[in-house]
Amino acid sequence: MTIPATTRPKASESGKSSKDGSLTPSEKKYVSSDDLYRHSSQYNLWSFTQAQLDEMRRAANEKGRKAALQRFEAARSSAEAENPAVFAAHGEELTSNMLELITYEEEQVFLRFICLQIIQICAHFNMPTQVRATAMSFFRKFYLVHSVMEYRPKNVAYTIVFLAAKLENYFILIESFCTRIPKTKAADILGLEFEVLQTLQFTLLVHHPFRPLWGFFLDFQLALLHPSPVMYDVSVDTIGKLYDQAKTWLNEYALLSDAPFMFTPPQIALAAFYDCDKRITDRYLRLKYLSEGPDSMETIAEEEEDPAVSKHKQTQKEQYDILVKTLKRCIVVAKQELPTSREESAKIDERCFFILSPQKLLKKKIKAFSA
Amino acid sequence: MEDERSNDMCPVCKTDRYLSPNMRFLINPECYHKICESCVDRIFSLGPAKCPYPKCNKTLRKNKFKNQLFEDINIEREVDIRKRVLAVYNKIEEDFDTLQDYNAYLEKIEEMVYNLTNNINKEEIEKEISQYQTEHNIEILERATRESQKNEDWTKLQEAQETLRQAKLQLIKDKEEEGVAEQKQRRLKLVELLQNSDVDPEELMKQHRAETSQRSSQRERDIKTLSKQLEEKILQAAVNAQGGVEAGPQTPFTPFCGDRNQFSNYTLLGKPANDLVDITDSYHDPYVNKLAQNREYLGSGWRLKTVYERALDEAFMGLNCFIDIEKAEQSQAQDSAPLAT
Repeated sequence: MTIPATTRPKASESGKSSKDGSLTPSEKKYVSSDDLYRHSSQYNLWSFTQAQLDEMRRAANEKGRKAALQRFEAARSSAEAENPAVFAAHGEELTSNMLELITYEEEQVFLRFICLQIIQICAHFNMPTQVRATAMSFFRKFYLVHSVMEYRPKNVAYTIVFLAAKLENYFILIESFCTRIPKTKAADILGLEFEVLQTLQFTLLVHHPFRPLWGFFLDFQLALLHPSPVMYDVSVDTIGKLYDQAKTWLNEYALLSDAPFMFTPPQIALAAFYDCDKRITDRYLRLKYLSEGPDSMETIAEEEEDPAVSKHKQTQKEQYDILVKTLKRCIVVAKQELPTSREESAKIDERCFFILSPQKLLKKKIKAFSA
Repeated sequence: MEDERSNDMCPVCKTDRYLSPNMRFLINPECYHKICESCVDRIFSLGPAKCPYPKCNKTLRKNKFKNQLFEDINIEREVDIRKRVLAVYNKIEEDFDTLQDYNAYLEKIEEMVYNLTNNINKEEIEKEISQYQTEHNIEILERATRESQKNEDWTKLQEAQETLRQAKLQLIKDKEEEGVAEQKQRRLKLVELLQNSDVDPEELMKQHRAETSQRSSQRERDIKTLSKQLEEKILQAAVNAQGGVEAGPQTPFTPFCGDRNQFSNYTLLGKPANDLVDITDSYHDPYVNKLAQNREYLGSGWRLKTVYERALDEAFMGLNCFIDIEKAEQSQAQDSAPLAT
């Protein structure tokens, strides 16, 4: 039931060694499942610390501002050539100041609103959870690199939902997809597809926390019920109910948050269990990490004499502590709320539209001046 | 419509397929113009002559005419060119030290074929090929003979196997015929006995039936042993032909510079069941366990065990990767690296 003594230290060792990369194959004998995860593109390309995430988003916002200003200047010079009279009279009013650029904070709120929209789109098409989760992941990754001032989130969202449906084996014809979304052409959706793929660096496999969640649901049964129930009030039904709660938790919190960037899928799954029922989950972790089984009294008496075993116990304790700490942090990250409102988002969306096509804004202003 | 008709009509003698359904078209790799068989006989029987197509001044010979294999004449042409080029550039992968060299060689051949089919730098390439051929004539011949030897070996093996298979079938057939003849004889004997002797007929019938079944099973056994021996012979022939390629120990493939950890993070609940190589008495999950009763699922190779294993594997895949710690260390290492150098 507990993890064999030899694996734990080895796993942490190999973890370090794969980081500095100086290890030759002959030194390293075994690859732990954690090392396998370290080989995934999700770990290598799409896992960040909080600081890195903030930095990337700010950089994206800055990039978007620069691009917007450049676009505006180009549009302005062409407009000036067309209407020199208006520019002579009101030239100082027609500067980039009228372009209400979107701040970092506004951008985050707006993106959150679109994320909620994506969930609604998926619900509208009756798509499975897998598609929704993948679409959400793609969308968040896309706006980690780009700003709303470069690509209009509305269009990107449709493209991403279509792409995610295709990837997760829930194929919808582009024609039928378009007919069910008002005011959208197939070309708009497909035109952005390559852009999105490029931004994702063609890493299309997303490891979601849902299967690990189910895996833990199974392992909970083994740890807590077999051969005999460990806790008097825990039965198959209790664990089943907990599993359902945890699934809702994942959909409600983890999917919309930064947790998938900052934690691995099993950690998020365990965090979901931990937040739904701390008592049962903690018992499971203790059983798993600290060998606190019903038969623990005898084993401790046996192992006390061996210093290696006691040392191993200590590393196990450390592992347990760090895992619980991570789970708690994961819960905090997942539950970070960002209040959004439709009105505010609609306003930002309108500004977005003018930022992306400044010539329309200029035309509007020039018309107002010349009238 | 016009096209279809012209496809079925010889442009030289205007014979139509509608009137002479046995008409065949031939082409000549000089110019790839389509001419019907009787025209070829008529025009080229007396020696080389000019292509009857207007404005085509190529001189054609009768022995070069051949059937068209591909409908698209461009493909036909490319295949011919490729055949010609490959007859000269006939190195195989083992003739190169590295895969890269081999790929470069293949690339070069492809380029030549492409250029020749599209008439780009045709003369230069032709010159290059003929030069290469004169320079490497001996090598090319050697490789060609080696290749044909290989093909011969293979055909020989095929033939040997075929004869063995035939022999086996013949043997089985003989045995069966023998059995049928014997049975007939015994039935005759039985009728005679029934007519002439005063033993109880029921008893006789019983005896006869027992004997028959015994003999037929004996015969089946004979056939089985015989066919087994022959199969072994066939296998032996195959091994002999391959010349013991599979000698030497093979090192297992380790994709991540190390074997998978054989200590699992979990133990699978449940005990193996016999009939379907699946597990029983396992986890409680009504939905999935119900699927395990579905014969369509089982028939296509779906197993409860693998489903559970996958979920549990993924549950522990990356559980102890602490991204915030590891990524922070990584970026630190990156920051300090330029300073150190």
